Amino acid sequence: MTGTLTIFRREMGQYFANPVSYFIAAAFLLVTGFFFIDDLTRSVTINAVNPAAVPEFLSFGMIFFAPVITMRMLAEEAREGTMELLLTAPVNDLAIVLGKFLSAWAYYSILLLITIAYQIIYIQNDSIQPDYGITVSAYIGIWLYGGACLAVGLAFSALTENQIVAGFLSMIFLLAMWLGDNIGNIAANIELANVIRQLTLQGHFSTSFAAGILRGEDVVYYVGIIGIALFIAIQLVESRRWR
Amino acid sequence: MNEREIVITKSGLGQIASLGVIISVIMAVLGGLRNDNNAVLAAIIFGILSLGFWILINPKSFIQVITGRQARQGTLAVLSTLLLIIVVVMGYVYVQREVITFDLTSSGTFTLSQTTRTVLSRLNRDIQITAFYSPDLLAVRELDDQFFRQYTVESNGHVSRVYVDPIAQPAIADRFNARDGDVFISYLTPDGEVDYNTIQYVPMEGRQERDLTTAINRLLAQGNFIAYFDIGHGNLTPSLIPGDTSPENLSIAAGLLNDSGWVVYALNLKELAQNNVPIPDDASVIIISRPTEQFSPQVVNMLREYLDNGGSLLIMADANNLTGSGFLSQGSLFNAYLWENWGIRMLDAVIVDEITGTLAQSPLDNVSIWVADIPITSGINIDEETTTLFHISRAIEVNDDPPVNNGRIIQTSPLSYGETDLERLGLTNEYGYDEGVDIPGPMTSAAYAYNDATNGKIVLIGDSDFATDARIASPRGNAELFLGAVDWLTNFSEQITFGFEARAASLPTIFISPAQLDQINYIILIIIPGLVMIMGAGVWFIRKRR
Repeated sequence: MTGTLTIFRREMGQYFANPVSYFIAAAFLLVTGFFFIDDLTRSVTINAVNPAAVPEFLSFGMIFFAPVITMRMLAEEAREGTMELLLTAPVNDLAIVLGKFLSAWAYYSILLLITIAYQIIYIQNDSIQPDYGITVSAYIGIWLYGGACLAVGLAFSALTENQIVAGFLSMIFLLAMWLGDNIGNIAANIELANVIRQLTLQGHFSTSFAAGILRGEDVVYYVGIIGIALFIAIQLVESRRWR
Repeated sequence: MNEREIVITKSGLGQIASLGVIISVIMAVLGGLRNDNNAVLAAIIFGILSLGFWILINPKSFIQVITGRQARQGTLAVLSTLLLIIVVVMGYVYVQREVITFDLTSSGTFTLSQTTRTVLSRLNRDIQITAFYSPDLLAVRELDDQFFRQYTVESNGHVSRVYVDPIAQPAIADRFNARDGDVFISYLTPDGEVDYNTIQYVPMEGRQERDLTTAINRLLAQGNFIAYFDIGHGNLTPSLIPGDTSPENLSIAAGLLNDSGWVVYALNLKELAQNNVPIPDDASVIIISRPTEQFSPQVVNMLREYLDNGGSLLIMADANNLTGSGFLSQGSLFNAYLWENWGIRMLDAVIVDEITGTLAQSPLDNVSIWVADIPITSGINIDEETTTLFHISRAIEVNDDPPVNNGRIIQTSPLSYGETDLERLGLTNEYGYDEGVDIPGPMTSAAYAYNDATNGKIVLIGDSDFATDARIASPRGNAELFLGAVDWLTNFSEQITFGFEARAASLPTIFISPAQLDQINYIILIIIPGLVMIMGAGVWFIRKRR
């Protein structure tokens, strides 16, 4: 646990000391802000306020943000040779992977918390009465969804020394996991399509968390994806010892 | 010009062959997804050939992959990962079966109300929700299932749900007459088969609890509400002859009742009275439509007894003098009974309304210019299509100091009047207001009365054409009046419709001034990201100075 905390602190320090992290954060907030404003503008004239507007966008946006956040985490260590130092340091592989993952998740959580501030606009305007229950549910969902995306990104970062390749592969994988929600459009067998949809990230968000429902199986799914992806990342880091 | 030498090695060919194995696996999966057996077979053959080629061309590489140190460690890693996946999948399936769901919506959209629970507790037969979704509607099915499974859980398994792909199983879709996205409920037979006689369509407008619970209520009430149409006085009736599509029938009206779970029977009031047999106890309502003869004193007595016992009567009469029936003519026994006991009666006058709606073609056609704000009219005068249209209707008089509760349902315009010279109207189709002779408007064309003490109810309508197959759907208000009247007479809706609390939905539009919107844009799109950018620039500057 101490090792995990050490890695976590080191990574968080890097986030705050690295201007790139701020630029990524600014881009994140600009894009989420744009989607929030877009929904707000449409609700003035066309339709009702969507209490889950920002999380719903992020369910797509994380396909790109998660790889950007995680692609350097292990790939860069390997490319710069610092991975060897880490592997010989008094921390185990679990602590390395878990520490890095938790720091990425914490960074993402901070960005997510900033977007919650948008809801203040709703609270201040009496004419807007969104269902805050859906907002809470959607934010819980997208927080777990983001965690799963980051874990997948970290696994790909452990796979290769090239962070561009790691980023690209995780983006493709997450895109496939997102597109799987529309498997019904190509699959002829609905039951098979349903099983595949159960495997996708979006399938556990769009019809549950985003609608205001918190289901046990969705939580198990995201936590499971995080666990499996981190386990694969640990195996990949460990494989450097015997490859 | 340099020419590069291309060297083909066994190792290279082996790698290509191993790649072929991977590609064949992917192709097989994709083929399986599309139900394309040929593609799966081709992929398997290609995979076997690639594997064979790999073993043949570079057996050492193959053996190394299978037995080397890396293979051992790799296999261990893969197996342990697989084990973890299995554990996660088992946990997932377990939690899914336990149906652990929290409805976080502040309006409780996905939580069944106490009313629904009460309805479900009354179930004594198994009900099946049969919903039709093609693969395109997989996400809709998932969302609906959130809702349907609450019914399964709360009914202790009495409600089951079955999803059918109408494209893959068109025969089942045909039996339900279903389209993609349609939802039905029905009872199950003891064998667990769908009881096709009990199928109820569920209009899933916004996936409301109200829709499904009302449908279940309809199912529960099926057969409990019985409407009898009088056939003993040369009346208009639902067609009694198969294949008879006469526009004068009331078949569509009867069909509308059937669709709502009613049982419709014919009843010969004249014969019953002659044999001194009372009206059946199970009659929820008696519908009397345009009799062509007067009611005998025995029939009037029988109806009096029925009403005194809390019965309900829907009377639709026409300008009888024109048709020569004399039914409910002024001074007739039944008309006198209605006036004395219920404070309503027919007048020997035809309504002429110079202010007609766009649907009417002549002043003898009159539309519902004014309707009372009562449950009977809840579906009337909502828009142009939901007005009622009567063709040559009779005027009704309502006693403003009645012996029981009564009131007007529909009135014509203040410029209308009651033409009393029916002979001239009948012979020459001419009419005109005669001061002191004709009845000044507005005229009442439909009225109601009910007796608090006995629960007896009457709806009297000065027209019957509106309910015939030719006119009931045009305009739609005609059907609304017929169903609204039957509904009020029998309290059908009160017993069937799910009294659903208003859902707190967000307002359709919000009120933000352009200046406020600009301010919000400025804060969210410039200030917040800008501050983060400035912090990043600051960090970059500090690092550069170091």
